[in-house]
Amino acid sequence: MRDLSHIGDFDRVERRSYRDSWGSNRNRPVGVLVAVVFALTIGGLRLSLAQEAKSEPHDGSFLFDENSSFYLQVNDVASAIETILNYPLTRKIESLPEISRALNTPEVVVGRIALGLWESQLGVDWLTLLKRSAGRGLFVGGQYEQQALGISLHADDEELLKRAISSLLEVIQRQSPPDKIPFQVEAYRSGKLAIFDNSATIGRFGSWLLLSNQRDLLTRMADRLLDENPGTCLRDSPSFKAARQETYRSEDAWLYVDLEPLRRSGTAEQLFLGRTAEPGLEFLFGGILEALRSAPWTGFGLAIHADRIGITWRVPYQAERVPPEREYLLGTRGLGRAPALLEVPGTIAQLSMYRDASGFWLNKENLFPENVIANLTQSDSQLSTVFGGVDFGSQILAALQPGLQVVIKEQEYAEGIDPEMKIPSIALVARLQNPEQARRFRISFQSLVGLLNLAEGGMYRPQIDLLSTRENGIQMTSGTYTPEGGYDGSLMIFNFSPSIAFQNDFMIISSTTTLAREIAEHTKSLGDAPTSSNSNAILAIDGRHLSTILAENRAALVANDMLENGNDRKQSERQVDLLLESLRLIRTLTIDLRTEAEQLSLELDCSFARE
Amino acid sequence: MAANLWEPWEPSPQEPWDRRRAAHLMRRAGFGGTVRQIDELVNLGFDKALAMIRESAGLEAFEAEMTPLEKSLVSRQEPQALASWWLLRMAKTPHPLLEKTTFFWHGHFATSADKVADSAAMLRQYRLLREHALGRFEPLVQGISRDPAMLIYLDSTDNRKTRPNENYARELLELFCLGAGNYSERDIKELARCFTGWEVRQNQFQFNPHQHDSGIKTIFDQSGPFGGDDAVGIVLRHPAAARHIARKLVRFFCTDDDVVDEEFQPLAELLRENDFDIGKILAVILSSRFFWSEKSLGKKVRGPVDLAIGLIRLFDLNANMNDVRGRLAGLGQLPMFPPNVKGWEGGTSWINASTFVERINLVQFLVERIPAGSAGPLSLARVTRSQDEESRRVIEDLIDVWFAQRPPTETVRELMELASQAGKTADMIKRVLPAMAAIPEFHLA
Repeated sequence: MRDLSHIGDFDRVERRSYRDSWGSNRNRPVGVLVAVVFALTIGGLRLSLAQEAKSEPHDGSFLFDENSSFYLQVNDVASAIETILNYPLTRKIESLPEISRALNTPEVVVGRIALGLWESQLGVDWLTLLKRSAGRGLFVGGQYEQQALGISLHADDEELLKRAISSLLEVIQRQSPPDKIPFQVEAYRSGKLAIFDNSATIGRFGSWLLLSNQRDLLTRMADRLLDENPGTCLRDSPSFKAARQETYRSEDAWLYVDLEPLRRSGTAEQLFLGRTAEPGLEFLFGGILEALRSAPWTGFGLAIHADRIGITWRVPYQAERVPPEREYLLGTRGLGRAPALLEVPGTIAQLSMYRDASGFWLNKENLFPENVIANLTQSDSQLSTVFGGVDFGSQILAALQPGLQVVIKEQEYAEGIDPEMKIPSIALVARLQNPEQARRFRISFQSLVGLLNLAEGGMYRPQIDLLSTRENGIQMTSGTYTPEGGYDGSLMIFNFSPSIAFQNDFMIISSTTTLAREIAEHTKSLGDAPTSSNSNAILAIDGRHLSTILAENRAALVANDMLENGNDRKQSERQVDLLLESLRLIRTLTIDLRTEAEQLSLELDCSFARE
Repeated sequence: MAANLWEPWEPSPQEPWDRRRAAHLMRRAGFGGTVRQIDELVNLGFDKALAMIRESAGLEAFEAEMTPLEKSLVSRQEPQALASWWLLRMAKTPHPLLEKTTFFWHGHFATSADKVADSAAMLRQYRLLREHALGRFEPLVQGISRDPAMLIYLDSTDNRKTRPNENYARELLELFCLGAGNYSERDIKELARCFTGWEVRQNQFQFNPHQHDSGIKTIFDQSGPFGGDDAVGIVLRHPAAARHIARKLVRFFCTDDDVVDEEFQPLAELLRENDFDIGKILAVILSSRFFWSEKSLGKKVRGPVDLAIGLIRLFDLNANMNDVRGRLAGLGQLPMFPPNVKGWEGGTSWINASTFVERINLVQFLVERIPAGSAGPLSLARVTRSQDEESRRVIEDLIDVWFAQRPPTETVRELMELASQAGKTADMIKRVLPAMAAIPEFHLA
């Protein structure tokens, strides 16, 4: 048997008379207080405490039933909260008017006062309390179908945990109506339980605090804790074992979810169908849908560092068994790899992904429902017309190698052009199977610009002037809008100088000539473009450049805010400036979809700037 | 007898200058106001209140705040956003009479961004309407005759001497200046010749002398080598012109009911005597016995814009104007998007089984924007003994300032009962106002 001391704190609660202690506040529902304390905990009351070294990961999976449908483990919850609170970004978010207002509503202020009183009673602040009460881990588990939830805290400081529970139960008693007994206390093995409404239960067993919304679950947790041999438990579940082995990476927090109960219940049914009726979603996230279709479990990891946060989602997946209709996205035997990100300086965002556009188009009948197929077939016919009668799927898209890239970059404007709303340049980069096919794309580009000119001319708007050049190995067809008539350079259309460029087998279709040329020049230094290892798709965003482009659009953002929030100009400016300052604190954001032989993962990494 | 209706009204013990009348003035000469603003008008007295309504204090600062917004919206080429922008102006302007009269002219010279599809052109037309809203009518008509948005809307961008375009000429006579029955088909054809060579190129008006028919035209028995500006002058000198404009002003500012010719004829004469000075004639209307009589009080159905902006101003709300815009589109009145060249029909056409429900939903949507835990501007500096008493007084306030006709006593009692069960003021208003919106009198202005 583990070395667990007996509890005496519940006895003290039983003996105390509480009726006159809290005066007129005693009619306040206890739920309000608990909710407020919880809200304050997650809402960001900040206290300065030195960050302690992170503790080693712990394990609470032995506490929960073998058929638990989820399990969350947080190794050091207090340090994680403290680290997050110390992010400059968090401080900026706290000063957002909405958050500031929410933290100063009368209910929250009352809650803060109550929390302060509780802290002074215990002699420690809430973060220290959390640090010592859950210093050896916070564990949450339960059964989705039975709506059973169990929580366990393993404390470093048993004495403090004991006092905290005792004090909390006293407060609950005092806050209850005089004619109501809020909870029953009863002995259970070496400990005692406080039972609320015959269901929710709190129990302390030495340095362990157990909570559950179902008494039976809590007693089973207590039995496993107290027994020499805990018997069959979650960690014996084959599904859990596999998830732990394959997805647990010693992160600060780890969540396991058994997907079978979710699948049985019909909750989030769309997630498990493996199909979507949205072609855009399929093209971007079809791989995830494919993996989720049959995955028995999934795991999430959270890593919190002083200057970054990483979230990883992992799910089992058999690369060998990728169905033919999804090979366009995952590659043959799941080996499709995204092209390496282009090193174009100053990019706001880049997306690189392995995608065989032709394979996608030609497999539409196997991917989508009838109505979507009908729409795509109609588009197919129209696109074939634009491309001079050549079949869009089997000839136009088939001329592209698998692998597409999107580059977004801030742009500079020519003299006299100063659009009120500044839109960054955006380019699509692809490689041709054969450079000779460039001609077909160039002609089609010219046809499209011609159609656009006809439409714009009909509306008395500026038209695009096309120019074709060939220099330094780059073949370029670029369009330019020129301010004329009643149109000055402030209109949104002057963000665009649509262009198509070819360099060797690279094709760049860009919203601006400058970006098309810049990427074309860059591709000269690339041989056979290297691919990113194991990445199927990568999105990389540079926070500084993003905030710069947003800052250039401050007037438009202020206008939006005035219209959407009815604010006056000064209020809107304050709001927008705060948003911009907050964004500036995000250095990079990367989302990486990776495929391995037996696992698919989505990794999000966000790094922050120091103030 | 009829002439007396346009003579100045004076408050009297039988017809006192009180909240009901001050609210009537704010609704018709603007979009309503808060209880506090209406009480301030009452305290000013009738003459000063009337003068204040016509003042433009604070307009310069307001324009400085709104002008950068215009530039931003025009650059986006999203005419829908211009509608939101105009709603914001209506909600916040310190000179509601100017904005309301501009809106009147927008309905009169109806032009839809749906067809014009050019934010800059729509904004230019808006500015033209606002510039002349309270000025003389003739320069406004001269301006609108050259206005690219109007000419695009009426397919009149090309007007060649060999093939005169009659669209604008027809609407100028029928809708804008005279009304049906006061001209002949020949007048339309001759008028169209006057406007030949008036073109729109790259959304700018231009006069093309090569396409102008400089021959002799005969309009209403007057002959000469008239151009477009001459033609406008001839049309406005027609006896029907003053009657037509006076009738439309009375219908917009006073009553949805038909007004017999004898009743507004004196107003038409005043309009002509004052060289079609709209500001002066509006001052006559707003101070007239007609405006303050039962012929006008509560004799209009609130249009969707009046309903939405009225509530926003009543509670001094910060609402999402894009959302409000979407709801107004569903109710059939979206600024910048009138349904056709005749503008909005108004009156009882605003309400049918479907729009009635949508109007209640709009009220619900807007009152939800009242900040929680706040009594808002309804919270007056007064001492009430209990929440119950506060609720009753708030209901009375709302009835005074919003209802143009007091609801039946039994309905008021039920509202009081509902209010007494609804808790704090803001919560109470959120619960009571949608119930109020189900009362027919709620929708009268």
